[in-house]
Amino acid sequence: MLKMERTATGYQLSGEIDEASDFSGLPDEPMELDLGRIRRINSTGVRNWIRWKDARTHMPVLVNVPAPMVIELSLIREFGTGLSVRSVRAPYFDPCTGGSSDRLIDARMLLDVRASRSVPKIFCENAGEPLEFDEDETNFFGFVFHEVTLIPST
Amino acid sequence: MRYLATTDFLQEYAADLDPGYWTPRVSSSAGDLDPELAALRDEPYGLFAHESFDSILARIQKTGADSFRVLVAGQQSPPVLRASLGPGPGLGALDARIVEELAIRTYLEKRDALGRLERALAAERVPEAIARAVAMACEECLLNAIFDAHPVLQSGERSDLFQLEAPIHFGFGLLEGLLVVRVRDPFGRFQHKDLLAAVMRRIAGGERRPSTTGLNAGLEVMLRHSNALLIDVEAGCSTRVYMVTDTTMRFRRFVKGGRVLVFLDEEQRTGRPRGITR
Repeated sequence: MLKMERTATGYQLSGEIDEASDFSGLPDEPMELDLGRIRRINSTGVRNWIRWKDARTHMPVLVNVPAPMVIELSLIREFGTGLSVRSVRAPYFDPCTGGSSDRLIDARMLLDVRASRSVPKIFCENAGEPLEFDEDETNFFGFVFHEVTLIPST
Repeated sequence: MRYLATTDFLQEYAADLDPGYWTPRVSSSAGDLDPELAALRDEPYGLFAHESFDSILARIQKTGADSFRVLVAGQQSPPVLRASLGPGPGLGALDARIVEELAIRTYLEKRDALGRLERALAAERVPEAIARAVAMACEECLLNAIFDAHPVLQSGERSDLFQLEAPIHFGFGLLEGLLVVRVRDPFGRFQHKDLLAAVMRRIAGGERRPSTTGLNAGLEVMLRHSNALLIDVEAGCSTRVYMVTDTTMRFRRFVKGGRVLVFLDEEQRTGRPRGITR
């Protein structure tokens, strides 16, 4: 079930984007859309998202885009065409703890990906050791080469 | 149906499989194949673990064939291989691993079923990324079955919120890190060309068209988010789709690693040779 909550700069969405998702509660005005609490998106949800996006006059700026939506951004060009992205969440493996967690990758780092064609380097906060990107980099970061605007925070 | 092994990697595990059914023909390289295997190398079935997944698929694409029985590519998780490839004909070994099954007729029942799966995975401390990926694959698998059951509206589209007359069954079991999911529907409309089309798109560049929703988009997610995808179809009667996942893998290896694909239809289940259709 998709839920929406007003924030200082726009809206925060949470839950799942699927066949029941209704985006009509989001006004067609400039806004930031925080997607950090979206857990899943299915193929019918992808279709609903594209229809909603394409009907808008003002494209939202996406913040905290979670891994399942980043994959859709990369695999379906039209999913993100015209949108702006301020940050995404990418999975990194920590060899020290043996666990994987999502790390924030901001637009500045994404611009580096676009320029260098290499995965952002993230380091463990405690040991300072480099973390290992824990996804398929080609699929995951493909969207930075699409018609998506990357907007670094000021 | 026979399975054919062509890598040293498999030799270690072939002993665990039923020798009457599993026919290990182990060879360390493509150049060391026996004549029968060498001939089969040009056919889109068999077990070709010494090749990369993309290499096998590219070869299939080159032949233009639209059917296959078994594909195994890349380095495989041993538990996934054992569960997927034996023993005996059919997929009974996977059925035995299902410990919970739910009937689904409505959107809410689908949501609840996925929630139960996610809670079961969390209880077993399955890494979140794998749990999330598996749930997405299961949802697409369920949607495919639902679309088969659901009437098309006059507009040519399908209504998003559904109420099925005949239920779809969603089963799963997690034992020693190996997750088996089974989705059964009473329609039997799945065709191997759909699976092959999804596979082909994966090697064609990976990008999907926005119109690629429903069955094809779902299959691509299922391919990406399971170690093994096995489909057993009785035309007009039933489809059983199994997804097998080694939940102990690093996520990166899970999404980038090899895949097992099995498509059974009635002729293959009864042991009659199907040949390659074009």
